[in-house]
Amino acid sequence: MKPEKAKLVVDGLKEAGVDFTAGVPDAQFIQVYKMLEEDPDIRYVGTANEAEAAGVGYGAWFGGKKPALMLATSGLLVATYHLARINILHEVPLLIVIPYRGDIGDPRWMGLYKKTTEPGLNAMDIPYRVVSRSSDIVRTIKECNESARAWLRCIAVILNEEALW
Amino acid sequence: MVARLALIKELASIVPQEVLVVTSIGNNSYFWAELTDREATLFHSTLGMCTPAAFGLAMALPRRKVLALDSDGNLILNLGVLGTIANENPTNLTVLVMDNGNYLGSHKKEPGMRTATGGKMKLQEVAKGCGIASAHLIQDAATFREVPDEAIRIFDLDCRRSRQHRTLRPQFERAADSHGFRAPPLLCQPG
Repeated sequence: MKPEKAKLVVDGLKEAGVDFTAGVPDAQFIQVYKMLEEDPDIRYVGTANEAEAAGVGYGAWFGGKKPALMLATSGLLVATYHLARINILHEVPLLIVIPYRGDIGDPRWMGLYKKTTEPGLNAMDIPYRVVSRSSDIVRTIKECNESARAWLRCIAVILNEEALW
Repeated sequence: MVARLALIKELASIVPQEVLVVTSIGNNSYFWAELTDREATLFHSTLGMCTPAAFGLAMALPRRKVLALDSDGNLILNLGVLGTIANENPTNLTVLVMDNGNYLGSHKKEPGMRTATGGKMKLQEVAKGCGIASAHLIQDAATFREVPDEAIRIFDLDCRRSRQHRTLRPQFERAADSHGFRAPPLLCQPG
């Protein structure tokens, strides 16, 4: 992932007003995690697994933060129970940013995640946008976060390799 | 050993009103709801979410004290959070684990099945191994008052059931609202 594409993700989070992020680093998004860890405006907490990250973001929201979770497609599966509960039962608006394994542009065959990511989000009743153009990254993150906060719902932004390459 | 109800009664009398409390699902939530009259509680954090949620809250509000009222089976599901907490070191967070070494043992007619702490696992040693220096195993309510505020506290609970558990439980069930938690106005998100 090129640093300028990672910067677009961080810029999108800043445009959205996100000031707290949690997640587990993955190969696709490693540049984003490194930027977040060094960014003075966004608090990044590295967790041991994605379910823990969901819980941390959930608590941070009750403390007045505007949290986002940075989840790999595999990690989304780890956090499924927690996100379903946070979204459907507790109605806490967590923005979820996911680099898309298994979609167009992914140089590796990760078809598993094409079969699980969008159906999984649908099952959890979490609306999402798939971003395929880098020029749409900042705007989509910002707009999805605004909807999440207005609706008190989790919303996901899925960035495929066409957008990130 | 100390029974959960007795310990939560003790806690209810000494935890200041301004402390934000996050409780795990089950009797921790039911007893705390029944024995305290406070709005700043987030109830029924399930499947490992209690301590992570309390940690997130503590990170967001560094000038407020936060108490996680967790349980052994719940914490074990997300045990890695102890390492996260050790590294971030929020001094306003206390984690208190009601450890009865048992799944479902507190509210069924017969004890359930043992958790790892019902075997060889010692949570206070795990916490220390994760980098939390102030981890304690406490077996009576009186000792609780003597532990420093900044400690992660591990309580070993007697899993024997008392008559009080059975007679009080219906009241606790009514205390929880239909969503399973009470939205704390103190913590409501502005805007």
